[in-house]
Amino acid sequence: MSSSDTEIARDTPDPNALLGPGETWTSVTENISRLPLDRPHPRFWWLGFAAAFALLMLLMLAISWLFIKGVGIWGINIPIAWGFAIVNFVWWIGIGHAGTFISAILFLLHQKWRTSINRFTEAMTLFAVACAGLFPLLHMGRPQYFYWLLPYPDTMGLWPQFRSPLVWDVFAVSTYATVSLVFWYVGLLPDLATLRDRATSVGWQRVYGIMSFGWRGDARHWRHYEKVYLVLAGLATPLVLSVHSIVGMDFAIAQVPGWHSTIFPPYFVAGAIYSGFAMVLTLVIPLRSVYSLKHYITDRHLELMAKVLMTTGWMVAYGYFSEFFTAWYSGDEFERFLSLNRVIGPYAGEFWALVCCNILTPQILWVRRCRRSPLVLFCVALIVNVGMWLERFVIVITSLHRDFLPSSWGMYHPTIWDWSTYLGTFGLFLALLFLFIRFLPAIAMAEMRNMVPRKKGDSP
Amino acid sequence: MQLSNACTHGTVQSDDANEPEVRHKPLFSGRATTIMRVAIAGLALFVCAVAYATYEYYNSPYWNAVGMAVDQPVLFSHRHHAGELQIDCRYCHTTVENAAFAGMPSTHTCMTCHSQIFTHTKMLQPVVFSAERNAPLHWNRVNNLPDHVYFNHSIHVAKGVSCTTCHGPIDQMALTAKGQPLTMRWCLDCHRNPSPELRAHNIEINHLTNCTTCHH
Amino acid sequence: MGASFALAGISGCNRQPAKEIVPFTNPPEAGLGREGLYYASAYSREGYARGILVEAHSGRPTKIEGNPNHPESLGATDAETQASVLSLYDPDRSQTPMHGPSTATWIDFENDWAPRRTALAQAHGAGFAVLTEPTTSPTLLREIDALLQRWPEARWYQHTALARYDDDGTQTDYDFENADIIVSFDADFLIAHPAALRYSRKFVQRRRRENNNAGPNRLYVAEPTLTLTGAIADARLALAPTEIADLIEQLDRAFGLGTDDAAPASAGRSAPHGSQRDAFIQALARDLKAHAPRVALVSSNTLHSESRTVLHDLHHRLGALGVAVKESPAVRSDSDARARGDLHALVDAIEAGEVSTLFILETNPVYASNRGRFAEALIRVKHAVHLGTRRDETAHRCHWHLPASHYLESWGDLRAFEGTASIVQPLVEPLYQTRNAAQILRLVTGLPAKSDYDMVRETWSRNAASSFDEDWRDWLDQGVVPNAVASRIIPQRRVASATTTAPRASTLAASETKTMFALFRLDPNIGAGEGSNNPWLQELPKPFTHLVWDNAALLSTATAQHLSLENGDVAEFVAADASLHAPIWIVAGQSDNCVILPLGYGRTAAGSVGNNHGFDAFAFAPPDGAQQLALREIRKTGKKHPLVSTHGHSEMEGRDLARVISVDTKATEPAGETEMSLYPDVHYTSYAWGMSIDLTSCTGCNACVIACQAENNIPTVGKEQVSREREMHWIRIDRYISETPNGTRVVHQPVPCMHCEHAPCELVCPVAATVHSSEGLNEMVYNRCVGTRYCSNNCPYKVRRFNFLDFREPAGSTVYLQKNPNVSIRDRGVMEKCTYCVQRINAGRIRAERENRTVRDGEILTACQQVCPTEAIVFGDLSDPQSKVSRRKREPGDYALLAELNTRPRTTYLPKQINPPSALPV
Repeated sequence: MSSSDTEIARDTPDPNALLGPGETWTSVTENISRLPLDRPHPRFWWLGFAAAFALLMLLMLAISWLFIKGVGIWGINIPIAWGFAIVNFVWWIGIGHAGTFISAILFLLHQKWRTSINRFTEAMTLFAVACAGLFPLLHMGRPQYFYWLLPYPDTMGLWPQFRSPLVWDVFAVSTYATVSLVFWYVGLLPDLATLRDRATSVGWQRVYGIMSFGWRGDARHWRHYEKVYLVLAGLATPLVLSVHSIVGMDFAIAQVPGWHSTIFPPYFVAGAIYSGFAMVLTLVIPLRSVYSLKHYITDRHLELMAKVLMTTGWMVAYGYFSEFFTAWYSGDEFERFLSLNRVIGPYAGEFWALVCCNILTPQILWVRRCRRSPLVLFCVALIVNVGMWLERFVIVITSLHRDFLPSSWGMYHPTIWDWSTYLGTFGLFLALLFLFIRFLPAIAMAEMRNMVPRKKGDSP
Repeated sequence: MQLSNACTHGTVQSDDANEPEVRHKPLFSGRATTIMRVAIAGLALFVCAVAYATYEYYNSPYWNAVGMAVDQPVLFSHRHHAGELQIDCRYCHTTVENAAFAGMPSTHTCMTCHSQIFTHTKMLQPVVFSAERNAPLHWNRVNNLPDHVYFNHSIHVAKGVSCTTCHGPIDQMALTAKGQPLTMRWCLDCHRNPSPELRAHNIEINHLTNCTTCHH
Repeated sequence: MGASFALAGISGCNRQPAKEIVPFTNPPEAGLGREGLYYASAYSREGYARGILVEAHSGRPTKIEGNPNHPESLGATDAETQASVLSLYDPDRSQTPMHGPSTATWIDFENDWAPRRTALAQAHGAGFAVLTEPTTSPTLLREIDALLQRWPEARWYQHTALARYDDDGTQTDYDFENADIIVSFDADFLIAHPAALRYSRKFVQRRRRENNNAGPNRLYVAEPTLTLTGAIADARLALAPTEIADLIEQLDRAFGLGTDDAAPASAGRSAPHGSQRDAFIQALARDLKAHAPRVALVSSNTLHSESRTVLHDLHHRLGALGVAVKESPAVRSDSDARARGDLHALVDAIEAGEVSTLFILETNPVYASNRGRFAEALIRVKHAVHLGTRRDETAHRCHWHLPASHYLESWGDLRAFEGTASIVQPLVEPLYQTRNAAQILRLVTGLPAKSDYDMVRETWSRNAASSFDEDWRDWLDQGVVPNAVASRIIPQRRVASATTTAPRASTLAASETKTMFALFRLDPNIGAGEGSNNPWLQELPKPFTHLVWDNAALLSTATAQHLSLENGDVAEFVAADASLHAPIWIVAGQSDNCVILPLGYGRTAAGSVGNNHGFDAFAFAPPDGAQQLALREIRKTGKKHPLVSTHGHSEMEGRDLARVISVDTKATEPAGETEMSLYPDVHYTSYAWGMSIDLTSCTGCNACVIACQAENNIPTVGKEQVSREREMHWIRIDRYISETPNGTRVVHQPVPCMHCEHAPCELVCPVAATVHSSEGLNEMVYNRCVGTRYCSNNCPYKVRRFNFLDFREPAGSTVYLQKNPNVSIRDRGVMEKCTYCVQRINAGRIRAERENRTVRDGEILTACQQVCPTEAIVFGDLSDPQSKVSRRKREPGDYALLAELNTRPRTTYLPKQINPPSALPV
């Protein structure tokens, strides 16, 4: 066995390998389980977590002030009654999609390369959805009555109004959150067991033991595991499409020029996966370097993700184009005015910025070297993240600020509280992410072992 | 299937790796699994139970204060006045037929009789006092609607809703208490299908379930 | 409200909140219950009576309506009158007498006054003077007379910062029913006139298609800046005052020597609009000739006396007198012979040492007089006493300040511009220890104190019929005293020369045409500061600028460009002997040769609401009382002042929003509901409420905005929140301004909720807080709203308003006494909007159903409809083809705003009809 290891080690590293050279089942397990099990944890983790926690406190402050004073502390007004809250909601929920896309759809499509990143991206999904979920609640004028959006037998004899996309949202997002959580946790079970077995202190052994629901890895467990995993993947797949379609409908249902458009659902889904992959890259690239996981998240992974980025980027670009085309082709004076106003109006700056970020920047990925250079990819991903946020800003704000009656046109000026709420959610997101890396395996060990090249006579 | 192969190998591997600790004393007792199952099932049950309890509580007479007499400055008995003496409700609640508010009898109204009868009973002292000092009586509300509900007595009476429909068997109440829950659902039940409660049977009901019929 | 929301659904955290019922010990005559009661009274508009009906709920006046019996109201009111009810509950009202800075009692004052009185009595009142505003009140005049009888040496002066409406005791009244051609020379007679309501009604009736047999009238306006009257003009010229004087001269010439050449003299005199101006004069002269005597030349006291004499003669020559123009003795006491003149006379007297004791009754000359000349003089008065509802600038400089009663608190009497007298009937006992002017006058000379009630009755019982008591009841009930009786009261003595507030000719030498003039005009909302402490009036968008909580120096576009000034830039206005810093605002349709400086702002002692907003133009106005001032230059300071305007944009961007048609063009037939829709049609079995708004009739007077605010408990939000576009008005007046050969054209478009059949707001609300009613109302249920604001985004008309913060007054504020008990006060975070005054609809339906009948047409009026002086807004039942609203909607041209969205609004518009002179292109 050890001899075989050395053989592999001597092999020249294959640039297209999804696993670094010299990896064995043991090394995979050891290297990955080291992250959560190592004591004491490296300094950079503490620094990072402290920063994230500070931002989280900022969020708490912003929310407390919001509940004391009301949504008036934000820049929203009439006509622009939706502001950052909705922009951020759409942005975060979009980011979540990459996770589900990778773990579910790519799984069903037998894309082996998903293996090393799916665990991490699923976690990302959960935390992004957590951030997204905050905003619809916070943006309500009377959040204390949020439960009126749920159908329950109240003493008023009233029910929610099911024609409203906001009610669909409630169901879409909560379902999405639940399924993602379960999917993620089921995937964790074998690894939790491994951690239990490898943990040094009895305390941690017990904790991981309880979390792993007494997983012993016998054939029966595995059979159930596979079934459940497959079913959940099947369940999650339509959700990838449905959730953001419905978010898209929040706008498409309205008759506001710039919102009222049939392209929105698919266009939103593409955008979601686009921004999602951008966020994955933004997080994975530093992760693999600081934790030296380059053997598991290889340049090949990055390149593949870069390709997805480009593809979805073009879908989004098409979305922009078709918006303008429809506006022009419809001949509707309001739609036409809106398109014009986007390009040369008061918010033209934001629009052109988004075009640069979302359409122009990714084009450098045509160059193979850029696709394989972590640094370049990291920058591109960051820019795309910004761009996708701007896209939502443009959709929400510029559509509202000049609609039908010129007499009620207005401008939107975000306040300090808009910004601190937005930045605060980064705190929530990152803090959760740090904790995840700290206590759970960021890469699916059980599945990674499957990537270790097998030698003859090894398989049963 | 490949995944299974991989993982059986995987487990074998990891077991080897942890040879020293794992084999000896077990981490959990044998009952652990059962406990876990019970706990999970219990949790699910508990959630449902709480939900149901909440529902029942908010629909209970307790929450709606139905049948609970309210302290009053004067021990006034509707049973005696409305029941035994058969005094018409409108004798005291004068505006019930032409105003939103049914009207509470002024002290003057009480004194129309009680300047003659039971004048010196202890029970009536607050009324006498009020009349002498021209200081109004402070009654405590029994039927209490939220400020955003605009209930109009006159139209209900005009449409043939009897007092007892909403106020319960008032003529048998020695101490006055709320007769019905007066929740919105309770109001709507009648507004959706009033005829069972009405003396007159043909009325326009379309607008009765408009929100602005009661809220503006 | 806290408790009220507790029971909403299962959200309640406490069970039945304990509340009390406190019945009367003895029932009041008025009865009980939630229904409001109405009492006839009269509001003093610049001293003239405006008949009103005051709605009271359990003893609190809450809302003011017009009195249909009153000739100067005709059932309508205006913004100022509507807002006056709020002043009654103003927390800043003075509540006790003040001796210098310290509070005192009336006893203190009487004791302090007694010795001074005896001293004065010995001198027959020598050295004593009383300053009042010119009044029409028989009782007040009677008391003044009594004082002057008792103390022959005492003097009575009158001061008003507002306009005066007579020339040496003769007032000119117009009957626009009989006027085909109306010319206004800087006279905003549709708004800024005691008879404005009557004028508006009559003027507009001649412009509407419906029941107008005499055919449309035509209005020419020449004015320095855009006024609401100018905005409705068929032909308008923006001219500086001097140019207007020239214009009048030209007309004079045109009709004087019979020569028909109107134009020649000053063709191209003021180059920019020379040609337009000549065309204007020609058309005008032709029309006047053609239509005489059915013409009216309306002037105002901003013109100097020469011009007004000319116009007076023209009326004679055109034979208009007795047709459309009526001259009669002035009703107000401006030129009453017993008065010793105006503020200037008083100041002279003080400086001559002739006044040692001065009573200032319900006027604020320290603030509202030019250049504070009076303030300096006041220091030299040994003993000054001020009576007023607030401790204002004057009060602070007087030795004593006495709290005055609000007109809804005390008895009085007034006469309307056209003469009709009314009794001012109070609805409440004075909230604080206050008295009115007449009572003070008795106190001055030590006449036995009388209740205000007795004084008024005494006035009217003199030489009254035997049936006085019945008459009295009848007058109170009707709100008017029949003219026959009224005329028997206090004859107006007329005199030749009374000092006048009209501008001195000296400031207007013809040579000064090209110099820039600063014109001092009353603020359209708060006048000369009377409304300063009234948040409703402060937050009411001013016509054309839509500014709130501020005044600004108004410049024409050209002037501003020339000085490279933008809205909000602070400029320094330099005159010969003074200068003023003021932020500027650019307005359309203003003469390039003048700057408008609105008065009434820059108050320092108006109260917590009114203090420190805007700049004080009085401090800059010429000391001689003229209303204009030649400017040396206008300097740009580089500073900025945050001015807040509620109006996004004044152009229509080529969209078909507010339609304008010429009378001779055939209006399009109203489009039937042929548009297809995916939504099922609702079938209405009972009433179908709808509204029609006639843009021809709308003068943009803003009365509906305040009426709605008063009726529906709409909060004010303050300047900062308005600057963030969060004003709460349920009905707004959109204005679209364009330049035409006939001058600046303005279209006012009132926009309430459209109550769409296919309402976009309804289907996006997640909790069904806004739904469609069985009678076609688009209902907004505040207490179900969770505040997602989706409905507002989806409303193409943007008529929904959101409580972004807690906009309610602090708990326990006296202002709550004004609130309408039949409308919920909205919580923080809920959406609200126009409901078609559904509380009135319900009240009406309940009343009808109690009487087993259907609601009569016109029985239910929305607040905006009821207040409207020109009947521009009509509301009613569309299912009744004979209802007024149905008939309106059948008129040609009836259209829905943004009809292409197929929202099928219940509120539709009739286009604005104009009648431009044929000489000029449309």
